[in-house]
Amino acid sequence: MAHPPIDVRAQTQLSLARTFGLCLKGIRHRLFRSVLTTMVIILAVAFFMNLLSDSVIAKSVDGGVRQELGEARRSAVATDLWFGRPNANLLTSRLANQATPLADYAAIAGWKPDRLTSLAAAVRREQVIVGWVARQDAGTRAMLVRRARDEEILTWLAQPDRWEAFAVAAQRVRADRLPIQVAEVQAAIHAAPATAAELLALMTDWHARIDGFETEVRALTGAILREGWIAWLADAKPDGVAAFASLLAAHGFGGVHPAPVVAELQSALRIDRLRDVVTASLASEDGRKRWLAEFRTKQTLDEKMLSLSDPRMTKVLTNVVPREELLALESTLANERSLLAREQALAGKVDPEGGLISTRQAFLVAISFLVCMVGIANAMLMAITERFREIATMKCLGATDGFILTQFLMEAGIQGAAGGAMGMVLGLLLSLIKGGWLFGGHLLWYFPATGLVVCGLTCIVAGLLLATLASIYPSWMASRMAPMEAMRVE
Amino acid sequence: MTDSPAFDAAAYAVGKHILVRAQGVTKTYQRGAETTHALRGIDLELFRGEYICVMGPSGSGKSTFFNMVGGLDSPTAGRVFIDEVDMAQLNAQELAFLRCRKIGYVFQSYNLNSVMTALENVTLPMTFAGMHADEARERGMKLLEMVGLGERWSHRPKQMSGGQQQRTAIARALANNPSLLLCDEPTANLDFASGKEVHRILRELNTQGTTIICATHDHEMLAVSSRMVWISGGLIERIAVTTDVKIEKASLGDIDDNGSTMRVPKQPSGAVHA
Repeated sequence: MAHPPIDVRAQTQLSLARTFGLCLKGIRHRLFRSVLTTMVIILAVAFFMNLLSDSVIAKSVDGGVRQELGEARRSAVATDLWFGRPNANLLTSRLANQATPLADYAAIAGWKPDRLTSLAAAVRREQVIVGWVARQDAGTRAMLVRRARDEEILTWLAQPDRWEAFAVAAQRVRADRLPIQVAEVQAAIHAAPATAAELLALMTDWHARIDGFETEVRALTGAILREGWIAWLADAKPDGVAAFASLLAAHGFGGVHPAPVVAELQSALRIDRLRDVVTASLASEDGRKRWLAEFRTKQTLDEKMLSLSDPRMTKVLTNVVPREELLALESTLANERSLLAREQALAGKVDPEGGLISTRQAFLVAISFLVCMVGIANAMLMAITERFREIATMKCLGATDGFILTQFLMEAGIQGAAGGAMGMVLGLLLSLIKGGWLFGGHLLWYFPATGLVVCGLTCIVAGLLLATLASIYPSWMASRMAPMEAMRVE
Repeated sequence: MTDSPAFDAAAYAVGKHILVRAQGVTKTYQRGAETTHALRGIDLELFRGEYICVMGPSGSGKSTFFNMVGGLDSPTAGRVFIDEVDMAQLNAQELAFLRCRKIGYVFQSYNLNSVMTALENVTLPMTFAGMHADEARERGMKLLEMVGLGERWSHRPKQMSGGQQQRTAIARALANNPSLLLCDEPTANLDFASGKEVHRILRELNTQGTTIICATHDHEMLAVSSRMVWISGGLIERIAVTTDVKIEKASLGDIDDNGSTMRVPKQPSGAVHA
């Protein structure tokens, strides 16, 4: 072995891949030795994942349930819309009602959804103004708008000189301010006649279309009164339903494909009729008085309908109502009941517009992460004290400070990612069990696979970051350890 | 022999190439108000191809001196040159380079990485030196074969005896073909037979040209060395040159292995140059 003279240069920098390779050699031994550190990460991440996946599952199921409920209620809305002639007040109150499914309305009536939405906003603003004026005491009211009432207020105010008087008077009524800006009030008041005109136009159009439609429906069904053709539709054969649907389409109702809407309407009408039949038959049976007494204590028809899915009731009704209709009624009722139960389970828990976790939950997560980081940092410091000989020996063998630092950070990172993955699985399992218990089949129908994958990845990254950030200081300590420690003998 | 006159450094150095030069090396540790003088001014020259044994009781400053020569610590005053390179002038990266390639370390407690196999332990310094993995594996196997552990390359430290572990550690120290092998009590934890094997290997390495500096109390080790240096109270107490390799164990019997006082051994006549 020949030894050339020493030519000192800077030490070779190891690539990250080689550092990673060296790190992996020891990691499986140390991963289980430092099971407590990993445990802390697992718990913190499991908590985080549990919150996230709970929220994702609830959101997804909530979206589905809302949609289903909307569809289930559409038949009632459709009947109401198609066979009712709204007056201005009715239309106004419908539009102003936040709960009205405007999109459904628009689809059934064949109106543009944008137009309906802007009209609804205008109507709501008008109602705020009218409501505010109506709330004032008699003196203030007289000072503001004289004798005008309700919609008259807007018409009255729309004249320029009266608006100015109103604006001056309204300035004095500062204690009870309008919830909207004065400029907005002015705009709404000036737009009021236009809105009224638009509402009138809609109604006129609506009445004309309903009239034309009714004439043709009379010809089709032979019934003169509306109740007559409702009964006809409930019992109509498929070709009759198709004819009705094409009539609807010809008059611009029910969107482009009215056939499924009509089929849905028909089944809704049948269920309604069935309800009447069932209620009637219940009233006429003397031998079931005891059960009926119990049944009657239920307050609303809907509640009565819910108790129809009781097996005893099925037995009683088998002879009165055709079996398949009863089954259809039962399954519809069961479905509605489960939807309502889901809606109840979700009530107040989900904000469709809000974030995944609430501020309070975020605070709890932050605390748990902080505790976790302190735990990791402590465990890492202890591990480094234990491994002083290994670290110092590595330095004697040519490891640079940078290598030691990278190695320990990587080790923590791998540990964090592994702990994060385990915590993720634990949290997810808990969420799935809870979700399955709360939502049953709805969990599978609206399973948020993509959302959960994103949450899972977030959790693994969180675990990795937690461990890495917590071990910056311990790793730095390790990298600063003097190589002569290797010589120390216990 | 006991009160030998000063070691004739000038005569000894003739025709030799200096590898390590310590110039007035002192080291003081400040702990609170208390000052500890570990080294009080050491001047020593080590020559290429030498096999030097350093002896001294615990607390004598022997370990501190060792750390200085190995580039593990820096002196408070004075200088240490390795091949005329002043170690105080080197930055962290250059020191790491020096430790990696130019100095091999053998520790009393082996200091093998317990989660790595023998081969992985041996190739670790080569990895640090940036050697390709295949090449490192090949060289690692050769080194393991050289220390007689070719068959046991896949064993982990816990599966090996102390002697085997120390031989692995020697193979690791040789990984990057260092100019200087620094051994800190390499046989202190070993039984007689294993210690003997380690001696044989070190001696063979020395005859092949590796400079060895070795802290030891082991008689066998003293026997194969070319020079012995006694350190006491932070100063060089005595230097002796071994010309005749044969030193009887009995004649060294009064060296106190564990005690704090070190008496100068009685050397057979002519064995040590006074």
